[in-house]
Amino acid sequence: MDQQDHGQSGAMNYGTNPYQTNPMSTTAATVAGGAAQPGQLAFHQIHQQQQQQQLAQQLQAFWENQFKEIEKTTDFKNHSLPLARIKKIMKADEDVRMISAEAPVVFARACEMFILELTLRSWNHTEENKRRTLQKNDIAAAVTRTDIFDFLVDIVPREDLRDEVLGSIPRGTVPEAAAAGYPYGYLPAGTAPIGNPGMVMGNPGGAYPPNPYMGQPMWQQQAPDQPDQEN
Amino acid sequence: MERGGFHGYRKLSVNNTTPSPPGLAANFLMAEGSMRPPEFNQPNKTSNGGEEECTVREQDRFMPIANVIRIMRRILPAHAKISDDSKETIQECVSEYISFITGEANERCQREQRKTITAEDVLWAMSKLGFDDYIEPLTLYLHRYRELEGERGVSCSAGSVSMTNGLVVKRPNGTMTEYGAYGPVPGIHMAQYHYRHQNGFVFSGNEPNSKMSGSSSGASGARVEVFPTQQHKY
Repeated sequence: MDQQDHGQSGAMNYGTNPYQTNPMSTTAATVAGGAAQPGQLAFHQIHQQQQQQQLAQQLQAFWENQFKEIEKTTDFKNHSLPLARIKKIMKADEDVRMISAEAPVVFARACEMFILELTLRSWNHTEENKRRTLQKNDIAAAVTRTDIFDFLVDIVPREDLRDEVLGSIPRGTVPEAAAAGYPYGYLPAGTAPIGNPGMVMGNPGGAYPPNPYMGQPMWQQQAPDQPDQEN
Repeated sequence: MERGGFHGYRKLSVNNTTPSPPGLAANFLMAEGSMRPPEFNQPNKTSNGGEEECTVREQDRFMPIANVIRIMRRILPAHAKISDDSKETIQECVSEYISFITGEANERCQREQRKTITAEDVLWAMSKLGFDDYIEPLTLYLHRYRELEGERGVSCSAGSVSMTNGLVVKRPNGTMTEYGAYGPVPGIHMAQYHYRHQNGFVFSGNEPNSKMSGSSSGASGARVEVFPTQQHKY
């Protein structure tokens, strides 16, 4: 498993080379600009804060819209994602024996919501960097900023993570205003997001403590996360 | 890296990922459509699942990239562009998400000595793993799905019975193979079918009479699978 992961990481690194150059240059320029001109840094921080508030509002609207869409849904035969494929992915785990017919149906909708949420959070990072092309490091940024996406840290390459860590340092100094929580969220049934120790990934688990996701905007918790990232 | 629920899931290089042809996707959708009524009447597609398990291909490890891109574009502004590597990354993230949730749901099944992962198990796993925002919309979705599909089942009860009989005739070998793989399976477990849940997290127990009926008709596993049809009539 480790060897496979290493190989995959290598492949990812190679694949992302064309896209990493610009973000790194941008980051370097930002850091240099910040060091040279405090006003410039302050402006950048304000921009970041506005972007985060915009994301919180977009997410709240997103979940409200999801509920309304489902209320209007009448066609349950055509799914955005093929059920047979979902079932095969579920059964890739040899421990999985039998699957109720309703499980892939629920998964089809859940994956749709997952793609939409991850894309929205990733695009937020794209806009922060004033680009119009969603890149892999935008997904990496969304993953690092969202606790419930910790299980994806193996999917995004480490170089992108490092870039995000560098880029997120200035934000740690800005206190974030708390926005309203999501009206449709529940408190988690378990005390921790990841209930089974066996599911915890070694390094990422240490780097990202399993904070309970209380339905609050993820960016609100960036400040506490900074020390862990800096370690 | 220890991942209890994922040891069967292998990840290969991203560069090997190829989007499935539109024709293939269409075939999947058509196949899914044609399989709809049997799927509803037979919650546990054991033999079919067993067959599919032997034919997992490389490209089947991810969702079709065209579907993924279509969903992404629904929430992106019109001028947004998506790089190819991010398309592939989202594909991988979705598969990882399914495996992540499935692993947790399956562990719950095993703790409760059940063999079938239900929609409730999936919702429970999401809540346990922090995806709280997903629970309420998906619970509503599941309820509406059961209402609409249930109505179709009721209105076509005769057809359902006929098709169920056909399925029983066609699948006895598959069913026995499934039993052989897992040893003797109590018939009552196959009959666990939760219809019209009021709460996504609460399993309504079968009626005592229903259980007796299921047991009495449990001469063979295939026969027990007829049981869910009866619930459509109330």
